Amino acid sequence: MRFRAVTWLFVILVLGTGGAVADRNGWLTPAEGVILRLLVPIQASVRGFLQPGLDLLETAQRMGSLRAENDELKARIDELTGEVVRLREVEVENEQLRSELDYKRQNPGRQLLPARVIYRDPSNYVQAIVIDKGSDSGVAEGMTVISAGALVGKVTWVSPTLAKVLLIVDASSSVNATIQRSESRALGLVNGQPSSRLLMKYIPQTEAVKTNDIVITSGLGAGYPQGLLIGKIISVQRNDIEMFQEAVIEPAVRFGKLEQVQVITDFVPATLGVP
Amino acid sequence: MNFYVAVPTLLTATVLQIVVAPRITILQAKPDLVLVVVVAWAVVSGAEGGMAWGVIGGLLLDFLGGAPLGTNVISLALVAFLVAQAHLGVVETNLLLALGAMLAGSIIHDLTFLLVLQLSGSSVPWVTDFVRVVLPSAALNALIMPLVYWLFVWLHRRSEPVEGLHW
Repeated sequence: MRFRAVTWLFVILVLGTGGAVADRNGWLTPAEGVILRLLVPIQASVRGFLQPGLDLLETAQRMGSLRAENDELKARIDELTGEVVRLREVEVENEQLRSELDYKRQNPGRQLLPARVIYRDPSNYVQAIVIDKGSDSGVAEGMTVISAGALVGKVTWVSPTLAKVLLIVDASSSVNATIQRSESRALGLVNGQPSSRLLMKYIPQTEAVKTNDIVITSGLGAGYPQGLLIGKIISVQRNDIEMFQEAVIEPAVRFGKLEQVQVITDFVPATLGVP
Repeated sequence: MNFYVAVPTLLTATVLQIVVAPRITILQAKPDLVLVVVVAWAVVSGAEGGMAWGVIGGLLLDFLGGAPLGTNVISLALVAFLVAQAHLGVVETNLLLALGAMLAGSIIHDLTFLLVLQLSGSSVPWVTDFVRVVLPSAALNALIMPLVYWLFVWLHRRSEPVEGLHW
């Protein structure tokens, strides 16, 4: 009995490793497409059935904090009303400046394809989402995904009707980035962290990096378009004996609440080594 | 193992994993419902049944998720094999054993999963993941385990006569 079990374990390990190799080479993409096409409607039906109950549970859990939150929000509304008036003035001024600079001529509009998030990766260790647009809609592997102008991630797998997107908060994700401040255009590499924050590495010690600095994509390496918002620096880790400093970034996107995204379809990253 | 029981059970666990599990979190960890089902079945029915359920559940998770294909298959089948060894030995199956198997199985599963991720080229922050995800996830899985375990003991008793089951 135990010998048979060991034999089975050996067979599974060999097949599992073979599966990983086949997956890396894309041989299993058609099979994955078929299975996903079968499972997604089931998942959507179950979600629809359970959603009212889940929402009720969430509301009940938060009942204690809702009153305080309500007062806080009322104060915030007053504050924001004033802010809206001020921003309307800024908007008018901005429009004038934009037309003066002929902004559109210098920055032709990006082609964006709206997509809905179907579900998040079931694992604790992979930060990814699946969206409801695939190659039939023009989505291709490597395309950049954003939400309200902020970077979400990159398409890593595509079927005709679905696509998997690796989020920038995944530990295996890295994005070339720069600080958006006139006196500092420090470059660095932004990596995902388990805490759902981001870490900007390899910032030269000579660069003055501050909290609240805005971090955007640098466009270096041609992996992502330039100028996409990544997030805001919330702390800087500087050590005199190190060659580089690091900055912890709060992402601009709330990945836990992500429902709608846009795929940038007119930017395909450069691939090194492909003729 | 009854294939007609395994597939719908694991399919249900997978869908609940996507829809419900993200709402039940400690730190960055959510429970792994498919793992709980596979471990519970391995404890109740033995290594071969557990491994077969591990392969089916692993394939479902691998196709749905972003990890390289085979990551979940390997980690789930390995855990099913290891936790079932206690069942095959002299120790009688009971809830306490099932809870111990769940805690150990959860940690082994997660470490195997991370190892496969690292071998396939991903960067793995081992210490942070262990503290913030592996341990809380094991605790959540152990909390869910009794419910699934009792269900499977009942199911297993109905399908075939067994000896040494106490709960």
